[in-house]
Amino acid sequence: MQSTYAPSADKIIGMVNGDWISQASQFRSMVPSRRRRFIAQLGVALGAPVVFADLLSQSGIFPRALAQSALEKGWPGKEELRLLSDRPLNAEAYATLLDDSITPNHRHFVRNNGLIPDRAKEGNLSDWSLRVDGEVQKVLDLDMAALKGSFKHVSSALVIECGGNGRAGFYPKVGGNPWTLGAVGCARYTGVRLRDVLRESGVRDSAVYLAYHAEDPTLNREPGKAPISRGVPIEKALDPHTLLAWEMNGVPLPPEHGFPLRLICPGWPGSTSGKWLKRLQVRDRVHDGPKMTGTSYRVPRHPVAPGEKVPEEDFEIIGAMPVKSLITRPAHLFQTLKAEPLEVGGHAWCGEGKVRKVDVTIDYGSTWQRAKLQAPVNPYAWQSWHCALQFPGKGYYEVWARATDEQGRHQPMVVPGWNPKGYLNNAMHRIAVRVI
Amino acid sequence: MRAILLSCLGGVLAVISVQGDEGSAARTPWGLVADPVAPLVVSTCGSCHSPYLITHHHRDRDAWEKTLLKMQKNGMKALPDSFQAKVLDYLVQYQGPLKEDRPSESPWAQAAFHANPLWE
Repeated sequence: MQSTYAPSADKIIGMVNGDWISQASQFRSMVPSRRRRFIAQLGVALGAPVVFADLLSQSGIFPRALAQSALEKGWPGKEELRLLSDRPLNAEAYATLLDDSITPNHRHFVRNNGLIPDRAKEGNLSDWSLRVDGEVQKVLDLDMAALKGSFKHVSSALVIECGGNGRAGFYPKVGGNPWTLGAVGCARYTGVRLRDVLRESGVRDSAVYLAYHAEDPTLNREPGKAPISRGVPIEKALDPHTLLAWEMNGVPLPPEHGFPLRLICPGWPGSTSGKWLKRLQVRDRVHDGPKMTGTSYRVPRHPVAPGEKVPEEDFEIIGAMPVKSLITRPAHLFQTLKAEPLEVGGHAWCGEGKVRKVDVTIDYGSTWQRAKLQAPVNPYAWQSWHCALQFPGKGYYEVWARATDEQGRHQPMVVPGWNPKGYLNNAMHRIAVRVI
Repeated sequence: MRAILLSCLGGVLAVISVQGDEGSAARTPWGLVADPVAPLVVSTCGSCHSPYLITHHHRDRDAWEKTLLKMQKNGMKALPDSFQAKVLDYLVQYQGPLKEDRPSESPWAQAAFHANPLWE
């Protein structure tokens, strides 16, 4: 139907602000004839201005805007997690969900930068291979059978933690995913040592950095553009604990966790553990792919005041993560009877080396009790701890857990070093307990 | 086809406006304030990423302007100036910097809480 009515953009905005919306709120109570007139008015505005119609059709507003909030539905396979975003998918665990010594797949946090590749959603290995190239003697092109057949298999429990875990605790507020405490997990991964694959390829003396390239598309599916391509220094790549993994807790990597193959660089920010790998590039310089440059995963070289503006050249790339711990039982705001000792437990981990001890306080740090701490099942697994607490009387208490690493560095009591991107908040975990 | 599109849009607006009956800071499913400009913000920004990424952030005008530029680099279609102004005003009004005395207004805003205040 051809319309001769051609309102200007301003008129459209006027309708957005005025008549449309105020009438829409009464839409349900309108008599049918009034509804028909309302629809007609919408039609007039929609039909004529090419710009606005363009916006609506290009942006796909109708299917998406009508979609029920993903928060209400939950992400399939991750329904228990706190969903921060569904596009890209970002979801973290609540502390009590992480009580298991090995985090099951459905309780492991997810951090995506782009969309999940079709291959991962389909579980499809056809035409997939891992290329290893760059500063190497021999370029490798390994399909899954070659990868699995040529190198010794390894199975390890490894912690992956997002560099921004705890970001929501920083004040003033910073940009980025507002993780609280659950962007961490310790699953069992099966794969091969990256070192073995790199040795087969023959790393040249010129090698400085290892870069990963992956299959995930950008949010707007721009061809030839990657949402993320990071890496680690070649020494970390050659560390015997750095894995190329195809299995997570005994099953092939779930689609959101990087099928068919991912890197695990334990102890370093999760973004170094690239997912949906297609290529590993050994470079003769620090990698400069998306989310490797600028201020991504970087902190100021020297400590800054909260809210301070920092020039880009004064940032450095984050390496090993600091010592941290979680109280996974009981839940925050647990109630207990004075007479019973309360068992408190959780896990502790460190980016480099082991956790030496975990101490617990119920009087805001005035006195501390040593928790029983297990050794890690293998390097870079987290260490479970527990402690029986006796309270002096009824009332409201805070329980804090403080992990100390082998160098004697322990977690800070307050949120440490504000930085513009909100990384590395390893402050002690505090829960409240009521004794009745 | 257009009839379907029209009724869809009407449905969208009705859904958003129904939320408005529930309280003073009525919100759309993603936590955005249900202001008349909200559908424009959702359609502009939500075409690529979840509108949650807007409610996660509280920024001043300068920072939101920079964000819109960055989004254009990431593939957001350029809006007519008046639309752009509406979107920017919305962002500044409802997702502006958090203040000490301003209580948590959205599911993602953290109260301005200092565990250990620094006194002179």
